[in-house]
Amino acid sequence: MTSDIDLDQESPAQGQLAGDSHQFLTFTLQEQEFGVEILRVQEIKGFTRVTPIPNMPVCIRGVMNLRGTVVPIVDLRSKFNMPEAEYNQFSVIIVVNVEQKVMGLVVDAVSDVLNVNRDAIEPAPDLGQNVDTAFITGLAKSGDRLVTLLNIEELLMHDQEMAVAS
Amino acid sequence: MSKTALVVDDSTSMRQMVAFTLQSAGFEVVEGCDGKDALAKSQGGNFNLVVTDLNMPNMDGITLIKELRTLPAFKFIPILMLTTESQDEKKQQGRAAGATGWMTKPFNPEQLLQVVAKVVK
Amino acid sequence: MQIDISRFRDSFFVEAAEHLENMEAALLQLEGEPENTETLNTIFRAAHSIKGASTTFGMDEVGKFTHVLENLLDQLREGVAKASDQLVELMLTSVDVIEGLLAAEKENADPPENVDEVISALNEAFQAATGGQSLDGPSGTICKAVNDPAKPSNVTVYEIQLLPSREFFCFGQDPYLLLRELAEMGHLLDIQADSSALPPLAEMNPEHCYLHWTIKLQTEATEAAIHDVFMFVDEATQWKVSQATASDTPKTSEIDSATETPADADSESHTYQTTPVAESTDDSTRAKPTTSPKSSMRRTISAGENETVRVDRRRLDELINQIGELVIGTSMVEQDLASFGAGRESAAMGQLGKIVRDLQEMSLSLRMVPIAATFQKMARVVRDVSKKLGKEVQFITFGDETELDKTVVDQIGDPLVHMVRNAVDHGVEMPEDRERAGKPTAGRVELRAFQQGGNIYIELQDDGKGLNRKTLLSKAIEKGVIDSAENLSDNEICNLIFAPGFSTAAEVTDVSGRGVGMDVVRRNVEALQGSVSIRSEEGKGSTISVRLPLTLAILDGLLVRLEHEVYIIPLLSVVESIRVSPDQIKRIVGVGEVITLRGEVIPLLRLHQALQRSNGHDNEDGLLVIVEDQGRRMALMVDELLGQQQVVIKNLETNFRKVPGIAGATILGDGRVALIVDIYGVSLMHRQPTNGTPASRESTSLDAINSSTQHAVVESNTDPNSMTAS
Repeated sequence: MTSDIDLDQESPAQGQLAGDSHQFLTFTLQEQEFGVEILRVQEIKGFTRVTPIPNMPVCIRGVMNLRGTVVPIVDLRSKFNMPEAEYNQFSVIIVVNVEQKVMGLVVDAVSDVLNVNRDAIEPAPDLGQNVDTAFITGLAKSGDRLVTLLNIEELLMHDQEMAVAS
Repeated sequence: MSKTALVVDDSTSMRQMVAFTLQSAGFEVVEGCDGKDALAKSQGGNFNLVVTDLNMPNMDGITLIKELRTLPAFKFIPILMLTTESQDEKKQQGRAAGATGWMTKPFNPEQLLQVVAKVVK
Repeated sequence: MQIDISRFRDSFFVEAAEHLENMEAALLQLEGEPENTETLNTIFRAAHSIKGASTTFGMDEVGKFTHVLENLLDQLREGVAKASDQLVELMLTSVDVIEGLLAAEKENADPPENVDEVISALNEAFQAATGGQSLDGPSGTICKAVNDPAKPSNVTVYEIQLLPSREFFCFGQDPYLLLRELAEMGHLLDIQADSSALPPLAEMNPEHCYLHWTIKLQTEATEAAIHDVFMFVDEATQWKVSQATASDTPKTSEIDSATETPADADSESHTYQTTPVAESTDDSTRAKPTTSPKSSMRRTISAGENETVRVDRRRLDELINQIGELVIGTSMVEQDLASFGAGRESAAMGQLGKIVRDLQEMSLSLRMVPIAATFQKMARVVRDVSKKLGKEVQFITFGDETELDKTVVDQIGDPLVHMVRNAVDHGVEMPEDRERAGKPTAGRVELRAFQQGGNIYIELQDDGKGLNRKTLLSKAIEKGVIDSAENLSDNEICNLIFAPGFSTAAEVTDVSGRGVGMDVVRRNVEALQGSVSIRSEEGKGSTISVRLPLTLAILDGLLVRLEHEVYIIPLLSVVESIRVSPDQIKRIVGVGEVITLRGEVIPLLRLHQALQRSNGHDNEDGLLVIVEDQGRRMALMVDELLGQQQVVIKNLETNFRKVPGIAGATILGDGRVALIVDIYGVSLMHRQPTNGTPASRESTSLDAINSSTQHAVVESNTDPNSMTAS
């Protein structure tokens, strides 16, 4: 199963992080790599049944039952204007905590945990008109990988389209 | 061994206040919400002090004091009654019934502890 | 040691509110029977309790006020004064004042303006009762012994003699404690025990005290302070305090006895004895207290029989939610088992399921409270309003013990007050008019509550003039609520009073006014997932019926399918479901699609469209669920009816936000989330100009009410001339 992921992979032991070092959970969307701060991540789940909600932006897939809690599911592909993918049992939901709300992000697959030094974060490049860069913290390079780090508060709570906080 | 007090008042807030004060002074506290309740809770208990209000439904404080004094376990236990300044007559009745002393409402926790110190070893 | 007692203030506010409720109830009862001692005692005890605790918690204003009230009550209790209508009125006002003072304490707000006015009225009443004796203010005498500051004085040597009574121990006294207390006052020079009174061993009663003591104490304390050490000793115990000179010769040798005040030092003061165990079991020696009745009027069950625990509301809600989860979890397991076991029933599972459902029922009952307190407030409303208007009203309640979810009870009060005011103001006629109509001069207003199925019904019935259809119709047309009176049944005309915009500020009277109409009542009731309707017979009176759910945590839902999704329509809104053929659906310009059902034109809403299940859905011979909201009917087209089920309501706002057209979500037995349709919301999303759709509502026949549950009769017999200026 896709949820069978070792979060400790490639990450230094707990407590050894330098002051300016941050850990990001990385995942892929259409072969692009993204990262969310690991402190925000509550758990990772396999894709489950989602109940659609009417009159919502397309990127709100609906709500799912997370052990009795009704949790909204955000489709990041759709949010980033990527081509829609068929979600199946290999898709993954990253459950995050933002401003005391619990939400799920559907992604293609989860990769690993990346240790990033603040200094190593480059400012977000202009990704063109397609993508609003307000919710991008910056870019992190790790070897030949390039990871787009997301600011999920900005993404989920303060974005006009999502208007979750309203 | 810690001391145990029976605190009887139909007013929850007063009872809690007295109970809390006594607990802070190291007492274990059993609460009764009127005379009848207190009498039921006194059975088989080992108490070192009773603090009771006088004006209560079901069984008032004076009857409670009389009833308690008939119980061997309460024969020599100090019993304090809570009175108000207008209840001189009640105070007399309470003493006649076997009360050890009294507290006049309003009182604060410190005053309560001082009076308790007068009657409990 | 400083002990913070402010934490008990909240408990005090809760219990003071209960006392005030009891007082109010008893006062209303007192109006009918002014000499009922038990009622007077209840009122007195409530005032007394509030006084005692409020002063303890530093709420001096409350203490001062209740003290004055208590003095007057004492006169009533003693039979010195009579509980006249004026006095009851004054005391009811006092209840309001205390409520105001408590609120002021709670919210740090200003006390009510009329405090001083009421205090002087109470004082006047007291003086009138006692023939001019004036009231002393509440004396703050607090345990003199403890508080008397010892005046600085020179060090003195006292000789103290202590002669305990034989029964000394039986008062819980202990000579050791007295000696210790004395020792703590200064320096003990000498203690001698005198054992001369000890009888021979054979005659000795081990429970008696035979020893006497003589103490020499060197202290700065005053003689008064030394006397205070003995404040608690029994009447028969004697002691004397004298100043010893350097040569230890006593100067005074006065014997004191433990009398309280000189006035009490009469013949009686020495006759008290501790009753020996053997005799005391005899009832005759036990004086029954005269002032405390065995039974009390309080509705709260005495704790001896049924102890109660106060629990934080949030924790209770949390518990109820978690048990709701447990129910869902259990049915998920049940379904899994059924699918694995291929139809084999698991006895263990059945047992577990039953336990869990019982548990849920029990947990919901924890939040249920009787409606009695709310009804009680209505008695006061009836009384005040009828007095003001000079009407005579007999107010009767049934089913006070009916229990409702606390959440519902908290929110039903205001609508009820409005309904009751309305009934007395607009329903019940003036006494002369009633007489002319051949009715008893006193109007009758009846408030009853009962449970029927999963609902609670609250009904308010008056025997007043009823609704005038003509006036109603012309007003409704004038206000633009309806276009014409056509096609309106009598019942529909009556229910126009609940239509939005029907009653306006123009008809505000001093009593029922305040700019809210019956439409607000309806909105409040519907916000509680309830409904309201009225039946009325002209000249004979009206009955308003409010239907409320037992609880807000659970909803009775109709499960419907739209494509692959399940939606829940609150069963409360569902009138019926019908199947129609495509040709029965008509399109009217400016209105949209409609169907005609038994002559009534009902707008059709394709739920698929409203909830975006599919845009080009053309299931023309679909199923229609006829629902009703705010008196408007609507036909919702769905794919299939799946059945009825109780569901636990989940808030979408918890993790997301409010969604138009959706009231919430729930988790079905198979674990998936189903959305609950907000009927009012979807009707707004799809609202066509339906101005003219009549308000229509089936009124449930509730005439067969078991009146055996009669609980309280409060008569408000009012003479308008007896009103006092206060």
